[in-house]
Amino acid sequence: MNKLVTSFLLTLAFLLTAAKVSLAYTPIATRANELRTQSCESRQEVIKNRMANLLRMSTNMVEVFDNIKQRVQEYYQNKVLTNGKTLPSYENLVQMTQTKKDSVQTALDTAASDSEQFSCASDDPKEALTTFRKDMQSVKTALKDYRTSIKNLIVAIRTVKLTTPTPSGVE
Amino acid sequence: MAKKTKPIRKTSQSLPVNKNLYYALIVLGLILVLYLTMNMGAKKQYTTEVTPKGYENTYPEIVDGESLNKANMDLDNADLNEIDTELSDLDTESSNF
Repeated sequence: MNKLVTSFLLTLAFLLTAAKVSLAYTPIATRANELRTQSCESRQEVIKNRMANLLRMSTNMVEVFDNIKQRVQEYYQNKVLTNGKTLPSYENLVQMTQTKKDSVQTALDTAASDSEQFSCASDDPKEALTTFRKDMQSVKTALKDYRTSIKNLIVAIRTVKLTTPTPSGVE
Repeated sequence: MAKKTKPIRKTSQSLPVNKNLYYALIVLGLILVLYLTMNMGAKKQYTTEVTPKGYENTYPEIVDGESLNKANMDLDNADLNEIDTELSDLDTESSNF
């Protein structure tokens, strides 16, 4: 009888301890999640602004590159061609700049779309930021390639002028 | 009975004064509306013209080899590493969650 009581008491003690431990741990985990969410929410607006700034900065760079490319093409049409000179690889080089520009636009669109996925209410807001980070690295690489393609166009056109230097307007 | 009609006279006499006041208020209101419209128009113009700045929207015309070289240099000067700087700031903001 004593053995039965003892084993019953031991079982009861074990169950109580287990319940106590589980009760003690659950609030800590919940609290950690709450703190993480609060930390995210307090920075949510700043993070969203930074993402928007990054996208705007990249878009501005594309616009600058576009403007330079347009001026280079105008120069080729108005100065080089009118002087009776041509660059055989011109069309290919221009086509290459357009291909690179399209890549930048695709990367920017992806980044903009992924930036909208960020929310502190989601299960893992950090994952959305990691994705956005990768997107922006792709944008940077695409921008670099686009810049290189315009530089190649400039250098090629400059070579034409260097091989046959003439004062402007005089043939 | 005559005493009862007095207030009616007073009312009719005071009407011109109120009318002037109303006219004055209407004119003031119109001036205010005009001022606010002009002010908002100026603000709108400011935001559309200045906010997108950061880089020039137009690039000067390329007229010779020198300006071609300058265009090449301007391309080099576009600092793509700014993206990395902004990204590391973003990392700092999100380090606690």
